[in-house]
Amino acid sequence: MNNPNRDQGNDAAVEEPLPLPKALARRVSREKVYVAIPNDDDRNGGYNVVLCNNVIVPYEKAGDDYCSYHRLEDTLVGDDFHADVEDWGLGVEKGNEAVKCLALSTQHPYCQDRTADTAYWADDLRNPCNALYGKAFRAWVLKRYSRCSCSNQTVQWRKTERMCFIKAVSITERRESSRKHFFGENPFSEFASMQLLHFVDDSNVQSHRRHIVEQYDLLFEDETNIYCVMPVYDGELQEFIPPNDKFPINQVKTIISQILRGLQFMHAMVSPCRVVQLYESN
Amino acid sequence: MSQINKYTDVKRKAGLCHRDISFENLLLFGEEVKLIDLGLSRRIPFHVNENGFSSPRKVRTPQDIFYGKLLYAAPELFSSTAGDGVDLFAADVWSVGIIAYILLQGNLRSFKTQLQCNPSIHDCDRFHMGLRHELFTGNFVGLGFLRSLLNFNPTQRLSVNEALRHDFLKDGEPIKLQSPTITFEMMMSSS
Repeated sequence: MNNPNRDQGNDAAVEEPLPLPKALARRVSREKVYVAIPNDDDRNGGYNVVLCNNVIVPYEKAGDDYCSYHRLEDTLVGDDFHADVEDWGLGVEKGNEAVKCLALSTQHPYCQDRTADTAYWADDLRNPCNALYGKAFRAWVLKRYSRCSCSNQTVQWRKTERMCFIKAVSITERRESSRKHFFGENPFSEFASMQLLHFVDDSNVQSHRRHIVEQYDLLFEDETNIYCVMPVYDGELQEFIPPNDKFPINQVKTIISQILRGLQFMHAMVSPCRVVQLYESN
Repeated sequence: MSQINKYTDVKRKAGLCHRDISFENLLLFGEEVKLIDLGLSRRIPFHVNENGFSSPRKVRTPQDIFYGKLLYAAPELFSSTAGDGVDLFAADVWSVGIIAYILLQGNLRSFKTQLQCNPSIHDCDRFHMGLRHELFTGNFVGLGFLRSLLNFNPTQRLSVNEALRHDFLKDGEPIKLQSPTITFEMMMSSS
C-alpha cells in the first residue's frame, strides 16, 4: 500500500520549506493514530485491542460478535456513546478505558514531541465538496523539513508532488445521524475497515490489496472532526463506458477478475494474531 | 512487550464482507480497478467445524442484512427470515455477478437509468424474474460463468476463490479505457 510514511524516498521535494499557517499547522502536526479493531468470534472470551501509535492497548473484554467497528465510536466520544451501545445491545464494562486510549494516542510513545513526519496541506479550504457527514478537499502531502523532533524549534514542512484528498467527517453530525438512521452507512466503519485491511498480513492475497481503496492516514486533530486522508483516483469506472455501451470482452474479464481479487482480499481470514506479530517484528 | 506476547495467544479468524458492491463504488486508477466505500462493510467471524473446515457465520440481525443498493442485492436477502441467517460473502459474489452481467450484456446505461429511479423491492423481484429467464434462455459470451455467479441458491453459488479459477477469466487483457474529463466534483459525488 502506498503509505506516504513508508516511501519517503519517492517524494521529490519541489519547493523550499513551507511555513504553515499556525492554525493549520496545529491541525496537521499531531501524531497519526491507528485505532484498530481486532475482535473475537467468541461471545464470552477474548479481548479487543486498540493500536495507538504502533502500541497495542487492550481496552475491554469483547461483548458481541462483530461489534468492533462501533467500538471506534466509543473510543471517540467516550461517555456519550454509552446510550448508543445499549441500543445496539452490546455490553460495555469499562468504557472509560477507551477514552484513555485516545489520550495516549496524541503522544508519541518514545518522546514528548507530538509532531509527525507527514502532514497535509489543504491550500483551498474555502471550496470544499460535500461528503457523507462532512466535507472533503484536496491537499498536498508534506514532509517534515526540520529533522530534530525533540527540539523546541518551529517545525517546517516541505511540499511534495503528491496530492491526496481529505475527507473530514463531523463526529457530532455522525452521532446525530446514527440516532435517527439505524441502518445507515457509517463512515467510522469505513475508516476502521480500511485500517483493518491495512494491517492484514497474508502473503497469499497480499498483492490483491491494491484493488481496495487505500487510506493514507486517519487524523484526530480536533474534537469535532476526523480526517481521513486518501489518494486521488482517476474516476469512477462507469464514467469510462465506451460509446457503444460495451466494453471489449477481454477487458471485461480483467475488470471482473480485479474486483474478485479485491473481494478475495477482504473475504480472506483476518486474524488479530497476525496484527500482533506484525508489530513484534517491528 | 509483555502485553503483546499475551495477545499472540488469541486466535481469531474472520473476514470482511463489503455489502455495497456496485458500479458507483468502483474506481479506476491507471489500469486497476479499486473497490471503494466500505461504510457498510461488516467483519464476519468464521466457524471452524470438527473437521477443521471453516465457514463464515451466517448473519441474522436486520441491521447486518440490510444492503446498500437494492438492484445489486442477492435474492436471499429479501426472502430470508431472521431464523435462517444469510451468508453475506455469497451475497457479495452475487453483486459481482450483477456487475459482470451488465458488462457482458453491454446495457450499463439502461441499468443506470433503472437505478436512478430508486427501485422498490417489487422492482427487484421483477428484475430477478427477468434475470432468471435470461440466464436460462440467453445466448451470449460468458453465460456459463454468469450462471455460476448468479445462482439463486447461495449454497451453490461460486465462492470468490472458485470464481477466480473459472476458465472464463483466464485470458483477460489490460484495461485500456479512454479517460474522460474527471473533475474533483465528479469524484466526490461517489462519496
